[in-house]
Amino acid sequence: MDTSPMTKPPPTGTDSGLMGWALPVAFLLLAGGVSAMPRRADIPLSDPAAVDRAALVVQPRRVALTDPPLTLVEGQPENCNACHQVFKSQNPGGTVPTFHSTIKLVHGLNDRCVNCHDPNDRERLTLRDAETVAFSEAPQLCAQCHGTVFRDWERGTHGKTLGSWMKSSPAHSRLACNQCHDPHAPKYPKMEPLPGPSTLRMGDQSSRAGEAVSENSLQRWLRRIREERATPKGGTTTKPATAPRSGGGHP
Amino acid sequence: MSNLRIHEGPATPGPDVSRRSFLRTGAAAVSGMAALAAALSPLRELITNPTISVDQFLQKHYREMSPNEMEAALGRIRAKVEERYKVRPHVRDVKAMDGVEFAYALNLSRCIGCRKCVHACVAENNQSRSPEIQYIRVLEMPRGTMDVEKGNHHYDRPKVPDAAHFYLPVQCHQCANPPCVKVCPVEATWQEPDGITVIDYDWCIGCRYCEAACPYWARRFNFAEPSVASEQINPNMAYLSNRPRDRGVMEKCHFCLHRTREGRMPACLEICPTGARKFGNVLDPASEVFEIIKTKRVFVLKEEVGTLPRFFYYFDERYPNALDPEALAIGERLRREEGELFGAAPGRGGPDLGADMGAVAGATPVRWDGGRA
Repeated sequence: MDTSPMTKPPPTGTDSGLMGWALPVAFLLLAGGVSAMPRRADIPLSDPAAVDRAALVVQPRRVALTDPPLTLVEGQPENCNACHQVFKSQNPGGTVPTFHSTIKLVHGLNDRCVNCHDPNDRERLTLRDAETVAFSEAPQLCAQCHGTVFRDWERGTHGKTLGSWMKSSPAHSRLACNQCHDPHAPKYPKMEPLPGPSTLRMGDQSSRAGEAVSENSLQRWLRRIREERATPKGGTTTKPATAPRSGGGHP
Repeated sequence: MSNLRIHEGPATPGPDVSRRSFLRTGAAAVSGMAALAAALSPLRELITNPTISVDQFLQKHYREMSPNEMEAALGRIRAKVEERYKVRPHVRDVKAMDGVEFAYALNLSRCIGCRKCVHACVAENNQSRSPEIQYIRVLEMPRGTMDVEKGNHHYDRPKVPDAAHFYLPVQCHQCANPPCVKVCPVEATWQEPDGITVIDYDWCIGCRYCEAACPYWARRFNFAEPSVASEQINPNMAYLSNRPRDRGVMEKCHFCLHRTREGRMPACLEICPTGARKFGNVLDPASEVFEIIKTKRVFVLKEEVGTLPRFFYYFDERYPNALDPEALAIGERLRREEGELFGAAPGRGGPDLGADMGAVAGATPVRWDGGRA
C-alpha cells in the first residue's frame, strides 16, 4: 500500500475525531432529555360515551292495530264496536275527537276522522269509493293519497325489512305503513341522536343549533379565559376542563 | 496540536491513541446498544404476553388452513374469549354463499342522523369501547353540496335532523376494485366471492397501508389493547368478522358477515328507525337492492377514483314540503342571501319580473305580491 495519501487526511481526521465524540454524547443527551420529558401532552381526555348493548333493541317502531282492533277502556282491551254501536260519535266529521283524547290528528290536510275510519263499522277502514278494508290492510288506504310512496313500498325501495334479506326465508318480514308511521301523526318527530365519536375534535365545532357561527373555537376559548379572569376569585370556580362540550379539544 | 499525533504514525499507535479510540468506540457502542434495546423493547412485551401462544404464532393464513387447523384456531379463539371476557362464545368460520353478491343501498332522503347504526354496529361487532372504534361515520352535510370535505361527523345537536343539513353515513363500501387489498404487503386482506373484503386479524402486521389507501376512511386501527366489558360482548362470532381483535391490527365493516352469510340482516340495518338502509343479493332480480339500482338514481361516493363500490346512495324524489316552517325559513334565507349577492333589495327576491313583463306587454305591471311591496 502506498502510504503517501495518509499524510493528507489529518485535518478531516481531526473533525471526525471531534464528531466521533460529539455524536454519541449528543444522542445520549437527546435520549436522556426525551425520556425525562413528560409522556403525555396535557389534553383533557375523557372516556367515550358508552351506549349499552341492551338499549339497542330491534323491533318495529310502533305496534299497529290488527284485526279485530282493540282499544284500552279503563285498562281493559275492548272492541271498537263495543262502544261505537251504542254510543254514536257526537261529531263524526269533526277534527278533534271527543272521547279519544290522546289522539292528536296532525296529518296535513287529512283532518277528519271519517276520512279513514268507516263511520258505520269502526272496526273497518274506509276507502275513497266507499269500499272498506280491514285494519291489517291499512297500506291499501294509505296508497290512495301516497301513491308514489306506496309504489316504492311495494317494490321494497321504501320501508323496512326485518329478519332476512332472502325473500324465501320465513324470517323475512316487511313492515306495513303503520308499523313505522303513526297514522294520526305520520311525520317522524325529531330524535335525540346517540353520542358522536370521541376522536380529537378538529376544526371549528360551533355547529350547535342556534349558536352563532361567527366565533371559532380559539375565539371561544379566549373569551372563556377572559370571562374567568373578569369574575372575582371568590365567585364561581369553573375549570375549562369541566365546561360542558368545550369547543376545542375533547368532548 | 496533540490531535495530529493520532495520524502521525498509524502503524505504531501509542497508548494515548488507543485510549481515545477505545473511549470513542465504547461510547458509540453504548449508544448503539441503547438504541437497539429501545427498538426491540416491544418484543419484550410480546414475549411476556401470555395470550400469544406458539401455535398462534405459527398459524397459517386463513386461505391456507386445513379444516383441522381452522378448528384448532377457532378453539384458541374460544379459549381466549373465555379467559378474557368470561363468556362462552359461539365462534365459527362462515363461508360465502354460492350465487350471492352483497350490495348495500342507503336512502339519503330518509336518514335522520340519529347514529343508532353506529352504536348497533359497535355492539354487534365487539369493537373497542375505549379507545373508541366505530365503523360507521355519519357525516352532517350542508344541503346543496355533496362535498364530503364539508361534512362534520362530530355534530352535537339536541335533536336531529337539522333542516339545513342532510346526513351521509359512510362505512366500508366493499369495493369491487379495492385499493386496500392491493396495497397489503402480506395479503392479510382480500375480497371474498360474495364481494365482502375481509381481514385475517392474525395475519395483519399493522402497517396501516390499507388505511391510507382507502378513499372512504373506512379502516380502523387498534392503537391500544381493545377494551370491551364482559357484559357487552356479543358471543355470536366468526373468524373473519367480529371475534375480538388484538392491539396493532386493522379492522373495518364486513357487512356483518356472520349474520348476512346466514341470511340475516346487518345490525346497522335492523336498528335503523327510518328504513333508510337496504341490503341484499344484487344478483337476485327480486331483491330490494336490485330494484333500487334499477329504479332509483343511485350514486356512489368518489366514483372518479374507480373503486367500484358496492354501497349505493340514493334520494327519493320528493316535493318540497310547503308545510314545514323550517324549510320555508331556509328558503326565505336563501332568497335573501341571493338578493344581497346580486344587488337587489333585501326581501324582494331579485329583479322585479312583474315589472319587466308588464313593460314588454305594454300593460300595467303586475307584481307577484299583489303590489304591496
